[in-house]
Amino acid sequence: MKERISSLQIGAITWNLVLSAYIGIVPTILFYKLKQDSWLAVLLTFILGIVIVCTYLYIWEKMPDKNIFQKINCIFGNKIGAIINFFITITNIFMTVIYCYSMINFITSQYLIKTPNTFIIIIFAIPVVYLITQKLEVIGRVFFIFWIMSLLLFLMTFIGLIFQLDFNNLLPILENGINPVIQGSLLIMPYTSFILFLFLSIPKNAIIDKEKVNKRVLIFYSLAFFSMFTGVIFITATLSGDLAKIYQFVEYQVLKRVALIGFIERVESTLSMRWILYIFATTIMGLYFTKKYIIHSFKIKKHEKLIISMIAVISLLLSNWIFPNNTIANKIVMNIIPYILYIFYLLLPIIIAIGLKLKTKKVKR
Amino acid sequence: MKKLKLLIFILSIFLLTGCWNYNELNDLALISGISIDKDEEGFIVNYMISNSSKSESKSNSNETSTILYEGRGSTISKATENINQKLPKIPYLSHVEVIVISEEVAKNDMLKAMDFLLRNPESRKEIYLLVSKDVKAKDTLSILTPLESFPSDNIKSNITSSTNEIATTSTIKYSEFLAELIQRGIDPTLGVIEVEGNIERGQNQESNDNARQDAIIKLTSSAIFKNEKLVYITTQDESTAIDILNKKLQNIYIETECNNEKIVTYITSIDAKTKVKIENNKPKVTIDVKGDGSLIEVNCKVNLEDSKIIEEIQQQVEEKLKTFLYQGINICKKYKTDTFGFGNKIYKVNPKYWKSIEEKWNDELLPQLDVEIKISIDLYSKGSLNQSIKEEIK
Amino acid sequence: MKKVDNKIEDIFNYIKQINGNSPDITTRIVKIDKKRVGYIFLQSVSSDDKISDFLVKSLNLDYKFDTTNFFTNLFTNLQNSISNSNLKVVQTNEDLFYYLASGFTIIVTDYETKVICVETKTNLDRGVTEASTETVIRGPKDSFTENHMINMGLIRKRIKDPNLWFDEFKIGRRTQTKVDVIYLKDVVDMEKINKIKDKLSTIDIDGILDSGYIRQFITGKKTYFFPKLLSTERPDIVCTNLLDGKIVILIENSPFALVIPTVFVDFLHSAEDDYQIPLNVSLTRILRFISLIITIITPAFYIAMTTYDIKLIPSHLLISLAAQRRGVPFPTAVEVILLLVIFEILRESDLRSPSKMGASISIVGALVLGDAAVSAGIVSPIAVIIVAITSVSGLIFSDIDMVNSIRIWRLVFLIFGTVLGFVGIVAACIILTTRLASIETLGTPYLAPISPFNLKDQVYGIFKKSKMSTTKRPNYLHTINKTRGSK
Repeated sequence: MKERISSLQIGAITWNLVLSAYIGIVPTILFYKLKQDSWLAVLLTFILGIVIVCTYLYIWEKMPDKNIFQKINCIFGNKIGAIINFFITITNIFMTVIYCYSMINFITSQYLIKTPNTFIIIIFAIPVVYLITQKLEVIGRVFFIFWIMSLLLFLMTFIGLIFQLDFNNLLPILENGINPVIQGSLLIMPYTSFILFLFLSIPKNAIIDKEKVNKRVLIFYSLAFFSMFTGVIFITATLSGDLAKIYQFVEYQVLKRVALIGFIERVESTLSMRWILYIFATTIMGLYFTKKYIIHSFKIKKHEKLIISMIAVISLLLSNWIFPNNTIANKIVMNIIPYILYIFYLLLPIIIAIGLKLKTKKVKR
Repeated sequence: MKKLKLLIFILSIFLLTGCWNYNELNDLALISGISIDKDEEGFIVNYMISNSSKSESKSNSNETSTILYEGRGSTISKATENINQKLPKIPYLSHVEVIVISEEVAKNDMLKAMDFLLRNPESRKEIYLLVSKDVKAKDTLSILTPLESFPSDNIKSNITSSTNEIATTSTIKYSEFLAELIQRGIDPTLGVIEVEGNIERGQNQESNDNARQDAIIKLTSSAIFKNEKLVYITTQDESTAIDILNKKLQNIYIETECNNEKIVTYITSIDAKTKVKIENNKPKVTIDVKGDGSLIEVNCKVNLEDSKIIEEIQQQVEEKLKTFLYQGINICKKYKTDTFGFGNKIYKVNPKYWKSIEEKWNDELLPQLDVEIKISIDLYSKGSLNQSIKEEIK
Repeated sequence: MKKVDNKIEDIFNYIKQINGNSPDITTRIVKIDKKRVGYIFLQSVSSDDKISDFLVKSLNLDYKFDTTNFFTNLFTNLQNSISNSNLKVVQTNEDLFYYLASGFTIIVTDYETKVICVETKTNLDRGVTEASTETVIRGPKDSFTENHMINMGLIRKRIKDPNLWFDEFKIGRRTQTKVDVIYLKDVVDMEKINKIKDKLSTIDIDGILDSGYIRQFITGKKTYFFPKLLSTERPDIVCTNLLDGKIVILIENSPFALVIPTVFVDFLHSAEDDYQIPLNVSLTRILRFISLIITIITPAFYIAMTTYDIKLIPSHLLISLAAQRRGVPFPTAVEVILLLVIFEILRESDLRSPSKMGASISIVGALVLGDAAVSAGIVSPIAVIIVAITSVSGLIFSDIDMVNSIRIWRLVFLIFGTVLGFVGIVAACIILTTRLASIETLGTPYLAPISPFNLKDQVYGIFKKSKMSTTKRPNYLHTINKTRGSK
C-alpha cells in the first residue's frame, strides 16, 4: 500500500513541529537567561538552524526510496545500524514525552486546575490513537487544515496585541554582551530545528511533488520562525523583560492583554488552543517515526495498529511520571537534554550525510 | 475489535463521577471587589459579592444588591480562608475589578497582597488598584450610588471616565503597578480613593432616593511609593503635575492674572517627552512639554485682537505651567523616589553607567538631579468670542 | 431455460400457475383465419386502450396465411401496423413473467415455441412535477419521477451529446430493477466506471426499491455518519455534475438519482449557485459554512464557557446568566441535552404528521418550549436561545443524511465539552477532522479541494467564480478531458 503525501502538507507539518516548542520550553529558557535580548537569540537560531535543516534535506535527497532506518542499515551494516536505530527511536520517544509533559503542565496549571493529569491524558489519547492508526495521507490532510486554523488564530493574536507594543521595553540591547545570546540560541536550537529530523522517516518517493519539497520546507520553516519571533517580541514589548522573567507561562500571560475591537477581551483560552494543536502534531509525527521503526526492525505486518496504539498510550502516560515537579523539569530541560539532542540529531546526521555521499559516489562509479 | 474499543470508551465515561473543574454558574460567588485592611490582629479582607437575584429583578427594594463578606487572619491567605468558611458558594476571582488597599497595608505589607493575587492563576491582571485614605478600605466598597447597580462598577466607571476629562488622578492597573515595581530605576504610584460625606447613611440604599447623596467617592490624589512602601499621599495639584509628567493626563486648566482678574486657559493634548543625557559623568534630564491652549474665561479688560497681548498671555501660561510642574519634580526629590522613571531611562540608554551608579541613585543623586523643563504652548483658540466682553462694553 | 410451450392453453396455464391465479391476468383468444391467436396481459400494468387500439384492430383483419409461415407473417404484420411500440421475440419460459409484469402483452400461437411481446404499458406515475425537497427561486423546477424512461428523457434533452452513455444493469432477484450508470465517455475517468460496474455486478439481494439501497453497496462496509453520495431530485444538478466529470446512477421507480464521487463541499452548494451572481454565491457559501460550524459547536461551546472557562464572559452578562440559572434543577449539560431531544422530537413529528395537523404541533411546541418551561423553572431562558440558534442553523442543509450526521456529531462535541471544557472541544475537533479526512470515495478524498490543496479547484469549493472564468474541470476527479471549451 503506497502512502503518499503532498509537499504543501509537509510544509504545514513543518510549521506545526517548529512552533510546538513555543509553549513552555523556548520562552522559559530564553527569558530566564536573557531578558530583553530574547529576540536576538531567536534570530540567531533561525540562521543557524537553516544549516541544519539543509543537512536534513540533503540526507532526505539521497536514496529516495528508503527511509532513515534503511539508510542507516545501508551505511553502517545491520548490527551497528540496529543499535543506532534503537537509540534514535528511544531519544525520539523521550522527546515526545517531554513535549507532552509541557503541554499537560500548561493545561493543568492554567485551565483545569483540579483535574488529575491522568484524566487529561486519557482524553488526549483518544484522538492520538485514532489518528496514528490511519494512513499517511490522512495525517497530511488533517494537519493542513490545522495549519489554516492556527494561522487564523495567530493573525487574531497579532492584530490584538500590535497596538500595545512599547518598543522602549526592548532597550537596553545586549546588556550583558553577546555571549549569553549565543548560549541561549544554542540551547533552544534542539527544540526548534532538530525536530525536523522526524521527516526522514518518510521516504522521499512517497511525496507527490518532490521537487517542490525543499523550497516549501524552508519557506514554512521561515514562516514558523517569524511567528515565534513576533511572539517573543510581543512578550518583551508588552510586558517588560523583568516582568516576563517571573511568570511561568509568559506567552499565556501576554494573551490576557489582547483587546480586539473593544469588546473581544477575554479570549486567551481560545487563542491558546493552537499550541495544543502544535504539540499534537509533534506527538503524532514522533509516534509515526516509532511506527516505522517497529515495522522496519521487527517486520510486523499483522497487528501493527494495536501495537502502535499501545505504545502511544504508554508514552503519553509516561509524561505524567517523568518529572516529579516543575522545578526539576525546568532544570533538566535547560541543562541536560540539549546535550543529548546534540549528539543524536547533529553529530549523527552529519555522519550519515558523509556516509551517504561516499556511498553514492561509489555507486556512480 | 472496533466494538470493544467503543465499549471501553463509553464505559470510561461513566467513571466520571465528577468532572473536577465543572462548576455551575449559580454555585459561584462572583467577586467584583476586594478590600484589604489591617489592624492589630492581622489582615482584614473583604469580598464584595454581587447578589444576583436582586440585581436582576431591578426592583426598588430596600435591600442592597451586593453583599460584603469579611474575614480575618494573620496572613492574607488565612483571611481569605476565613471568608470561604462563611461563604455559601465557591469564590470566583476572575471577575474582580477593583482592589482597595488601606494606607497601613500600603505602607508596609504591599508585597504580601501582590504575591497572593499574582500566584492565583484564575485572577486576571487588569484589575484597578487603589489606596484608600482616611477611611477603611471596606467602607469605600460599600458606598452605593443610584446610577449603577453595584458599587464596584461605580468605582470603575468613575475611574475610567475621569481619566479622559480634566481628572486629577490616573488609573493604574495591577499589571502596570507590578511592572513599575519590578523594573529598576522606577517606582510606582497608585490612585487614592476618598469618601466625602457620611459613610453610615451612604451605605444604605435609601440614600440613593434623595436628590443629594449622603456619601460620594472622590478620586483626587496619588500615592507615591518607594519600592514597595507607601511614603506620601499627594495633594490634588501635585497629583496633576505628576500625571502630566507621566503622560497619563493630557488636559489641564491654568489660571493667570491680569489686572487683579483671572484668565483661564484650557490646555489640551499635552505631550511631555523626557530625555536623559549623560554629561561630564552626570545625568541631565530635559523635559519637553508641548500643548495646545484655548481661552476659556477672560474676566479682565484686555484687547484680545492684539497679537502682542496674546503672546503675553501665552508666556504667562507657560510660566505658570512650569512652576506647576516643578511641584511634581520636587516631591520626587524630597521623598527620594523615582516616580518618573529617570533611572530607568538611564538604564535603557547606557546600562553600564547605570550599573556604576545604581546604589547611590535614589538617595544621593536623585535629589541633586538637574531637571530642565521646556514648555511651549500654542494658544490657538479664543473660544467663540473674538474679544473680551469687558473690553467691548467700554 | 425451458422453451415456450407449443399450445396456447399450456402457456396460459403455466403463467397462471406460477402466479397463483392472480386476478389481474387477463387472457383472450382470437381466431384469425381459423387459426387461434391468444394474448395475455396483466390488467394492473397494461393499458386497455393501447391493447384495444393497436392489437385487437390489427389482429381482427382477415388474412389468409400459410400454415407453415403463420408465425412469421403475423410478426411482420404486427410490425407494420403497430408503429410506436417495443417489440420483442422471446423464447424462454423464465423471461415471460418479467415482460408481463413490465406491462407487455404476450401474443402466443399454437405450434410455435416463440412468442411476441409488445409493450403496452400504462401510466402509473404522477408525471413531471416540481421538486418537493430541493426548491429554487430562479431556475428550472422539474424533477425526476418514478418512471425510468421519463427520467432518462429529462437528462437526454439537456445533454444532447452522443458521448453520454447509459450502462444498464438489472439488480435484485425478485424486483429486477433497472439501474443505469450514466457518464460522459470522453470526460470521465474509466477506472471509476469499472469499479462501480464491478460493485454493481456483485450485488446479490432480494430487491431494490429505492436508490438508498444501492448506497450501501457502493460505499462499502464501513459506515460513516457523513453521506458519501449525493442524492438529488433535480435533473439540472445531475447534468451539472455530469459535465464536471462525475458519474450518476439512476434507478427505476426512484425519483432520486445518486451522484458519485461526492466531496464534503458539495453539501454546501445549492441548486441555484450556478444561476446567480458569483460574488453573492461565494458569500452565501461562506455563510453556510459558518452556520455548519455554529450548529455543531454552539451547545458544547456554551457549556464549556459557562462551566469551565467563566472568565470568557463579560461581567454584566455573567450576573444575568447566574441569575437565570437559579432555581433550575438540572446541571447545564442535562438541560441542553433535554432541550435538544425535545427539539428533535418536534422536528421529527413535524415531518411525519399530515399537513392539517402540522400547524398546531408547531404552536404547541413553541409554547411548551418557550414560555411554559422557562416560567415553570425547568430550563433557563439562555439554554432555550442556544438550542434555538443551533437547530435553526442546522436546517440550512437540505440533505437529510447530512442533517442526521450533524446531529450525532453535535452530541459528541457536547459530551467532550462537558467532560473537559475547551480542551475537550479541541480534542473532539481533532477527531472530527480525522474522520472527515479519512473518508475516500473511489479514490477521491472527501475533503478535496481543501485538503489535498489545489488552488484552481477552489472555485468548486467555497468560493465561486463566474462561468466565464471556470474553464477547467475539477482536478480531484482525474478526468481525461480537462477543459470545457474548445482549447
